[in-house]
Amino acid sequence: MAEAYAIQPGNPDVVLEVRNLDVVFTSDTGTVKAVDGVSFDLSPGQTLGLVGESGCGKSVTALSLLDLVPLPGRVAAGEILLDGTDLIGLPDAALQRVRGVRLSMIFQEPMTSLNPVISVGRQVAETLEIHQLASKSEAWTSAITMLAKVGIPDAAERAGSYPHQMSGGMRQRVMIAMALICRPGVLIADEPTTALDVTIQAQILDLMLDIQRELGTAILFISHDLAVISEIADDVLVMYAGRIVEQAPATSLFAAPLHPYTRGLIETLPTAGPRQDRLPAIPGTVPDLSALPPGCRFSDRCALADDQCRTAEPPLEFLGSGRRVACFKATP
Amino acid sequence: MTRFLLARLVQSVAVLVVMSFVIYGLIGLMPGDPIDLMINADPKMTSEDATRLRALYGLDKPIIERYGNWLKAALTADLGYSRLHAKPVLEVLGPALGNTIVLLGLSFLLSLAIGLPAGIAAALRPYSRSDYAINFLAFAGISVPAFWLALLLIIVFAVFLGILPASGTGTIGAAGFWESAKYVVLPVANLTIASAGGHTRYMRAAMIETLRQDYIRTARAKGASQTRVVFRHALRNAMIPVVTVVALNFGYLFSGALITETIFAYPGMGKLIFDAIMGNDFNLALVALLFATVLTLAGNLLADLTYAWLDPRISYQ
Repeated sequence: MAEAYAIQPGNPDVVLEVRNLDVVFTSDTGTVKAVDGVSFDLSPGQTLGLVGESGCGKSVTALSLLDLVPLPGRVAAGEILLDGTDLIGLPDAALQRVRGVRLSMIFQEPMTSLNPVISVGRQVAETLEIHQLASKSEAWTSAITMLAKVGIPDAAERAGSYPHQMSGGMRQRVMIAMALICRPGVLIADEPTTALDVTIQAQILDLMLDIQRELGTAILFISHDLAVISEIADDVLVMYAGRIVEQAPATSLFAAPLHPYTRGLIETLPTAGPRQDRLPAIPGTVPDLSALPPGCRFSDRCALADDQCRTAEPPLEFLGSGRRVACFKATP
Repeated sequence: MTRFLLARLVQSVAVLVVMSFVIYGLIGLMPGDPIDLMINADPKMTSEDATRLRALYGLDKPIIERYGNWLKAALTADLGYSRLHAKPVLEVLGPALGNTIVLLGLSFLLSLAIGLPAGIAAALRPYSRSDYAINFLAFAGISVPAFWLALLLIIVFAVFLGILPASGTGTIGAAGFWESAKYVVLPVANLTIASAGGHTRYMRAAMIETLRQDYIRTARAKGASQTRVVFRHALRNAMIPVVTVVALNFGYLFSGALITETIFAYPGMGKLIFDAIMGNDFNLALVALLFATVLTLAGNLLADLTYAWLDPRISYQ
């Protein structure tokens, strides 16, 4: 299993390699591992969905890639290879040269993620200015072009607007423009559509895919919403309590989920049609990360769990055709 | 904007009229009147003389009627005579106002120049040694009573070291910038220490809160350096709540000036008010106290205009 993820520096097919990433949060009551041994690859032009319930470590994984995990969290182990260079342990100045140019991020809350006292045009142009890719006036012109590209009408005029003068969907377009103006190799999108209503959601997803086709950006798309993931992702990672429990190409994942947790998630999706009794739900709640069950982390919520599941932690096994699963009961 | 300013002007005039009545009433409640002081000064005065004088000055009338008379005169720019100085009130106010503006202006600017950078420095490394050191000094500045600090400054710099004068505004016969400037040093230091501590604490709190915001994370994700994050992205947002407190503090600074000027015998508005009240100089005390109201109103207006400048979400259209 580990061999398949041997590090291949300079592999042109992989832009981002994450290996055995551990993120821990230390507090007075002890240390909690919010991300535990996460590994994955991202290729140019690929959209990798990262799905899981709230608190499973999705956002922390995303933030750790940019070294923006809020205190008292920190990356404790692992490697984050961007174009073959390990980002972990890089000095601040070197990280700042990576952020926004080679690795960008879009956040969940378009309402609070833009600076309220700086015009949106300036905020978009700033990414270019920080990395000295353009003069101030060139950056402004590029910002207007980029705002037009993300579908903001009258971009030249709207560039002077402030975030509070824009709707949530428009603000998220601004965020996308800001994140992509330097044409980064990797874009991390942390629930970019969660705060938006459904029609706007679809527009934003289409926009991201259009720009991805044009720039060849790799996207790590984080969401708790399987429906959104199914629309956008090529491959899907399923996270549970800090670990990856299943990985598969999107089509096979939805056609034949292997992990009982994934199956549970897919069953909870409502379907159009006559109303059934109640939506199925996975019993129980996500375990407290400081009091995990001894064996499989999902064992106390799993209908299939037996003694082996409750004592030993199932390894993440490769099954071929891009699938991985961590379950003793997985039936191929 | 013009509309806003006009509305504020009308409000301010209303507040001033109300305040003039309140102050007039408070002064009227004080025990004694100017005639009592005249009796003390002249043992040959009879009670008939006193009654005659009270009627002459209108002091025997009910307070409402007296206030009405004062207001009528005030509206024609006649603010009366100062009993203590034997001059029209405005002539007494002029030089005192100049002195106070120097004192308050310098202390205000200095306390901002010290407090804001100190607060930012503390916020960048919260709960570090430098943060604790800055907080200790800030709390010391806030907690130390102004009258005690003033005495301490006089003892150290005027008595022991003998490098600065203890009081007054100038040495007779001496001239030059430093000759007059050195009289301002201690009063300014006294007032600055008192308010710089508060500014430090407010700036620290606002900056810590701002640095937690989502848009700060966005700025970092763009590759912005710490300097850029703090000064380009955080400072302007953090200043919005600080402006409110600083503007309110401006009125507070004036009341601090009253104590400071009295101790350092600095002839400004504060000392003028103190002496006027002690000497039952009604006309002077009333106008000088009204001036304190004007100062607070002006501070608030300035704060409102600063908000609009700092925050594009605020406009007075």
